[in-house]
Order: sequence, then structure tokens, then C-alpha cells
Amino acid sequence: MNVDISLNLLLPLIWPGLFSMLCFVAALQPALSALGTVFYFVGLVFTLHALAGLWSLVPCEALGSMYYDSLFVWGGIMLTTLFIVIGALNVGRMKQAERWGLLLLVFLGALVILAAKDLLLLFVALEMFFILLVLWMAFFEEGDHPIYATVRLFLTGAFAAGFTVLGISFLFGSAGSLNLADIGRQVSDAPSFFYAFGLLMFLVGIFFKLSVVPFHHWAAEVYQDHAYPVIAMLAVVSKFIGIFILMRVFFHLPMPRELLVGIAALTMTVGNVAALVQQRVKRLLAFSSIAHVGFLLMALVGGNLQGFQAMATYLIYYTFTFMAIAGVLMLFRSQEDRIEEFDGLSGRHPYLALTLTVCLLALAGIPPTLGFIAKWKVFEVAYQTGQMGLLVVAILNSLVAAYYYLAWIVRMYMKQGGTLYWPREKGLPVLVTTIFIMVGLLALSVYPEWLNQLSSLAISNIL
Amino acid sequence: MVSQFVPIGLMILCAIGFAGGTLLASYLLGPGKASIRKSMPYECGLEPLQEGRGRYSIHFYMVALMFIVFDIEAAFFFLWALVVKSMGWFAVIEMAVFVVILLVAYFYMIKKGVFDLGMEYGH
Repeated sequence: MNVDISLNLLLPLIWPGLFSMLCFVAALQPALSALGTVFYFVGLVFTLHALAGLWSLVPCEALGSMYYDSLFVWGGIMLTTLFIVIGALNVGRMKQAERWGLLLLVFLGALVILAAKDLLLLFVALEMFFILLVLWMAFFEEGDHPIYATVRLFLTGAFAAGFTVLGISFLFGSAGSLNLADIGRQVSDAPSFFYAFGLLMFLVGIFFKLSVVPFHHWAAEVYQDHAYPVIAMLAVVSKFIGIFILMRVFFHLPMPRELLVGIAALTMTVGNVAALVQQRVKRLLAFSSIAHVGFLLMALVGGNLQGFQAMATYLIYYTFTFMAIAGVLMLFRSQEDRIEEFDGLSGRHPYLALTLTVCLLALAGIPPTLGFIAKWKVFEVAYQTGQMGLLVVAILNSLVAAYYYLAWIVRMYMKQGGTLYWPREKGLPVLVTTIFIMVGLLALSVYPEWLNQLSSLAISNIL
Repeated sequence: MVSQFVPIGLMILCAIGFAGGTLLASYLLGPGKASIRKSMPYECGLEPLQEGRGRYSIHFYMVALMFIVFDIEAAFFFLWALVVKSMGWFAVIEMAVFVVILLVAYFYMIKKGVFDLGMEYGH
């Protein structure tokens, strides 16, 4: 047996693994535990370098079941950047080196998911990502009931994993292969009942992880009891990965378009309407993130390369805007996490209030911000593929969403009496990170053609 | 396609039928007279000494977990041994990496006191 192996292809996977091991070794000596932070960032920077080196090699195969194409390299670079941001938000918070090692392993699992076109590898990587994420979450002491929320997420995720693996076994049974491309070739003529059932079960599992309506009930409960770094992780990285899996799957398999249109419309409507009545900030963010997944699904329904590009644009916009919001909110000390505490924030902290306002306007999709461009692209795809009903639902939803984001801004500028404040003694890394993200987002909204170039890189060479 | 699943369906039916049939038969045929001795938990004929749900140290759980993990890792060695000759040095290096990862985890556990069961020997 001849195994053709090139170190270049494996380096993006070797670096996070190696440095996470170093983190665990550093954790053994209390004097060395500060090294965990260093190893984490060095590992991610090396990974970024290795991923950038792959541009000249795509598309190719590695280890028989991983496919490196532009989507993988683009997604990998996005993911590395997101993890650098999450790490930067946690500098000084995560004292134990193990936590940094765990976060690197979560990253490794997520990276493998992006390259996996073999359903077995996909499942293993998904569970590696998920179980280590739960472990990482359990370390947090901030938030109302972090352990309770972690166990809740673990049980929900384990339940969902059962559906995923059941679906994979039926897909294998109907097509005789675990490779997505092979399954796609097998079923293209006459999809059998077993194939349809398997795909449905697989999707239910992924929908749970994406917290798409009607599988969204866990999101608000987990978010409201946990700390902001965890919320950012769940609302950004796990959705990024879920959407990537769907993108991969529907690039090869025939898409149940009516089902996805229904789910997208339902998700954005339920998310936005539920967000209208929330009194707690974390619950509002949870429902807002659910609504954004609805828009992402809408781009997926397009089903063509243009849809993928709109999705890539939307992912750039949504992930980084949400990170910035989480960063700003992380700075404040809040008593009860109620939205009334934001009353009159502009008087106490004018610059932070302004930053939050810009982020909220972006999430609402108001014209000068990145949110408008991203939403426009998604609407364009829906228009061109003739999804008029979905388009109308989405536009109405944007109006509903604008209401609760703007109401939040009105609170900050036009009301008085809130108690929220920023204890200045800590939070410098968070502040610096947030400023970096904001500068990046503003640059992209001033030069939308950069955004176009960035998102078109993703689809330049899909395998 | 569907006909291939008939044996599995038959097997499931047999399993349900056997389990349900046994329960039904004992319900219908047994005299069903309750007594204190009959309602007690069955302990191989002995009188129960204490509650069944005693608490015990978390270390048992940790050691059991580690045993399972390393047991399964050992199973990979058998498969590796089958193909190592035909795959050559690549397989050797691959297994060396695997063993190093295991060893790092093992030393981490020792250092963190997973195997320290609260017993002091030789003192």
C-alpha cells in the first residue's frame, strides 16, 4: 500500500494539535501556565500561515477523505481569525493553560469539518468539536448558571448527534458509500425512500446544532445562563460550521428546496418575533442569532455559486459584527442582564454607546453599514432564483428586526436611569480586540469591493 | 430494496414477541401473591444489608474511564500490526506520533493525581 502524503497538506492540522499538547504540558507546572496563552496564539498564527500556503495547491485530496478546495482554505482562514478573536477576548480571563489547549482542539475539530466530504470523518470531527466545546464551556464561572447551561447544551447536542448518525447510516445504506460525491452520483437518478429519510435525519441533527426553528428551544436557555465568550462561540463558530456543512452537503446532493424555504422563513420569523418581547440582553442576542441563521439559509436555498458567495459575504458580516457586540457587552458589569440597564448609556460611556450603536445598526441592516450590503446580496439571490414568497417574508422580517435593534439604541440615547457601567480596571484586551474588529468592519463597508473579492475567493475553486 | 430489510424486521418482531410473551405468560400463569419477602430486592437469597444507592469516590469513575480509553487505544495496535509491514516507515512514524500523544495524556493524568486514590503507601 502506498500512502502519498505531503507534509504541507497536513501542517494546518498538525500545528493546532501540537500546540494544544504543549498547552497541556504547560498546565502541569503552575509557573508555566501563563504559557498556555502564548502557545494558543502561536499555534493559530502558524496554522494561518500553513493555510495561506495551501492556496497554490488547491484543489487536492489529503488522506483519502479530506478535500482541500477554495471553500476549505477560505473557511479555514475565517475560522482561524475568529478563534484568534475569541482568544483575544479571553486573554486574562482564562488562567489555566488547559483551557487554551481545549480551545485549540475545538478549533482542530472545526477545521476538519470544513474539509470533510466523507460523512464518517464529518461525524467524528463534529463530535470532537462539540464535546471539547462543552468541556471548554464547563470551565467558565461567569454567567448565572454556567454548569447548568453546559449540561443542557450537552444533552441537547448528544440527542442531536443521535439523529445525525442515524441519518448517516441510512444514507450509507441507500447509496453504498459515505463519500458525498459518490452519494450524489448514486441518488441523482431516482432518490429512494431510505435516502430521503436518511437526509432528513441528518439535517435534523445539523439543524439542532444550528438552532434552526423548530429545533431552537435550547439556544435562549443556554445563552442566558452563560458568559459572553461562550455566547460568542455558540452564536458564531457553531453556526459557521453548521452552515458550512449544509453548503458542502447541498453542493453534492439534490436539495429539498421546499423544506429549506419553509425552515428559513419559519426561522427568521420566529427568531425576530420572539426577540421583540425579550427583556434580557442575552436572550435577545439568542433570538437575534436565530433570525440571522434564517437569512443564511435563504442564501443557501439559491443553491448556485452566487448563493454561496452571498452566504460567504453574510458570514463575514455576521460573525465579526456579533464578535464586536459580544466584546462591547463583555466590558460592562451588569446586575441582572436586563435591557433597562442600558438606559442613558450614552451619558456615562459615549464611545462605547457609539460602538454598540454601530454594531446594532449593522445587525439591523441599515444602509451605510456592512449589514445592508450582506442582506442585499442575499435578497438578490432569492430574487434571481424566483423565491418571491421567501423574499417578502425576509423583507418584512428586516423591518421587525429593525424595531428591536433601534429600540435598544433609543434606550441608550433618549432614556435615563440605567445602572450599567464599565469598571475600567479590567478589559483592556477586550477593548483593543473590539476596536480592531470595528476598524475592519468599517473598512469593508467603505470599500464593498474588498468584501466582494474576499467572498469570491471562497467559491473560486470548489471541489 | 425493501425486501432486504425483511430479516431485520423479523428479528425485531421475534425480539419483541419473546420479551413481551414471557412477561405476559408470567403475568397470566403466576399466582401473583405479594409478600414482604417477595417485594424485597433480590440479593442472591441474602437479606439486604443497606440501601442499594451508596455513594462512592469519584476516583473509581476516573480510573474506569481511563481504563476504557486506554483499552480502546490498545485495540488500534492490533490493526496497525496487520498492515505495518506493507506500509513501511510511514506506519511506524504514524504510530510513534500516536504513542507520544497517549504518553503526554498519561503523564498529564499522573501529574494531576487521577491515579492517586487517597491511599498512602509506605508511610
